[in-house]
Amino acid sequence: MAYEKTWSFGSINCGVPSEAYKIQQILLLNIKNILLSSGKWTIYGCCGLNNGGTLTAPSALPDTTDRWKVYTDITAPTSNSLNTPLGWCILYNSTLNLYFALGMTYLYNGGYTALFFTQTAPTLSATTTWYPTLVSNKIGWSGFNLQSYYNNAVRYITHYAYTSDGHFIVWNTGDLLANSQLNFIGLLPIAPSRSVDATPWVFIWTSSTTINTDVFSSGSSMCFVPLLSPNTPTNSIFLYPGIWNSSLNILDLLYDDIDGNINMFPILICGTTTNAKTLKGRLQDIYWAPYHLPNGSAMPSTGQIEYMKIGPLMIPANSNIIR
Amino acid sequence: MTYEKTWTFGSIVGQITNVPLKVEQDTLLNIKTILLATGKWVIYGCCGRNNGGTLTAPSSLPDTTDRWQVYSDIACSGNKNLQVPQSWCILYNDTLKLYYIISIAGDVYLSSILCFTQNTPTLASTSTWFPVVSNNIMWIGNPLLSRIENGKYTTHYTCTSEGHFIIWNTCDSTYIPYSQLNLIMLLPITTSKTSDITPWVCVFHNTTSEVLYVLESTAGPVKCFAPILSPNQPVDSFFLHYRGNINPIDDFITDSADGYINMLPILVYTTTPGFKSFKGIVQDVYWAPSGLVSGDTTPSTGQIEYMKIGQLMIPANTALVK
Repeated sequence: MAYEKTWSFGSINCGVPSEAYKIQQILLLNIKNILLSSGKWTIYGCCGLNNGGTLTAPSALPDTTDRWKVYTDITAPTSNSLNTPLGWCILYNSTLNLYFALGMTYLYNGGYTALFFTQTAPTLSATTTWYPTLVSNKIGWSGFNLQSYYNNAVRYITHYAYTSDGHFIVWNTGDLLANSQLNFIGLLPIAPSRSVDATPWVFIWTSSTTINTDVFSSGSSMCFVPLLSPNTPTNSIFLYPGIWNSSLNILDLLYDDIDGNINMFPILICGTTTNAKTLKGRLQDIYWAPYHLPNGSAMPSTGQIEYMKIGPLMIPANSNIIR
Repeated sequence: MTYEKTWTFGSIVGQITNVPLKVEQDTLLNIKTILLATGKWVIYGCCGRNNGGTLTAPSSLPDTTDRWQVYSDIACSGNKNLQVPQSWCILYNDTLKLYYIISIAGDVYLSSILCFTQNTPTLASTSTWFPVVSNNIMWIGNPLLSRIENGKYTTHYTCTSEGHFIIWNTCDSTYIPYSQLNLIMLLPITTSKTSDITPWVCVFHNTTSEVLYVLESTAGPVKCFAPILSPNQPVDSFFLHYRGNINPIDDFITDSADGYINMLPILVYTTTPGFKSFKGIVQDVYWAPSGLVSGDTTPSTGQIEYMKIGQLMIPANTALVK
């Protein structure tokens, strides 16, 4: 068994943040650094304190200046709003033809964030330090914590895996309840079911400490697959295997009785948007995991090829790097 | 979208009849002819009348003599007992390391005998009896053709370059031309783990009731198996389909925007105690939307085309297979 994509892995120590909102700032900074390190994402525009200065936005886009040097560069307003001065950063991936806009929208209540993807170039707002204007066809998330669980005096770590095309999976763990803070943020590759869906992808996130298959079908997570013709992101869900007229839950199945092989089932993406209800394809390198397998469980390693359970998913991992 | 395997297609047109025995004999003869034509299956032993003679079995195995020249060479024993003189034919595929033994049994209701094994069959104590097999997957059941009408029957086939096959009959009777969906399939599987080398699943389907669960249950008229080649033990299995808060097989016929037909992959999961495991995905065969009718095809892209047969979308070339 080999990965369909080429994956790289790593972790970033977040230290022991003294406030919940600082985790959000650190996580945003980490996402930016992780994506830049992939070599596939570049800065299209960045608004921040630029290592402790004053909040400064680009005068025009694109502008490759990185003004997020330390987590405190990512300022946030005291009222949850996009139309107020705040730290934001637009990343661009020319392979996926995709913009990813990150921002910190609220300093209190654990800290709120905004994460949006679009294939249409963002523009500066009327006040340039406001969150950028995402003209059309944007998909994303605003108003929740990236980190759902915070405990004082606990060290947090941001883990990541990304492909050579720039798809990524980012999540945090803490020393307390090591795998309970599964704030999954993923831009995942899809093997398309038909040729017109060129390089489709799905964006998912979860901010719940309770992750099950339902969150990938409906509820707190949102999934999208762009149809590149007509280039409109559409709502979609993850399908899971089942059988007709039976109480068998495939997620209950753990190991093969004989050889201990962990069953990993392919994940299909199906559209739910009116006029776009169709099979989009299959997630690449990511599988449904057995329900009863604990988080952090890993497939027996075969060198770099390894899988780890995160929530209901088995994702590419190298447990020598990601723990 | 391209096939994972290389498929060839064709049809064998039969004679007009309403005699059940003749349809069974024709179908068995066609199966043998189709598999030999792949170049991957050879005769390992054949017991028959050899163009109208007396029932004759090989004196030893292997014996490549083909004693099924015409349909009437396939003698019916008159009951379902394997230990009575009857016509049988052992085919062997060296790529799949697989023997396929086909025969005809019958009483007032005709039955066919279809048997797969990876262990070499041997002659019975009376050589015209059904051969001795072990670790086998055997179906002694209803006629290959579930409905007999007074019409011209055609046996259709599609085969991979390795010898996997799908064979089914249709009839030109005005009575429901696609209702006689007696699927006989040996399908390739993309493995889920390296220890399952070149797995396959065989399916016998002889009902006119095309509901989904008949391919998902070992209790019904369909038998699905996936052998684990180490330790070389065939095990019961069934086909899984996908679902969520929607049922895409039932709910979606075509994409409303572009008319695309949804074809969902078929997973093979084994149910035998000690072997409960995901085996992989059937290659080039998909679940079909329930709202389509049998015989519907996807838009052709040259040789790459699919046709709905029962619950399945199978590789087809409708220029050849109709």
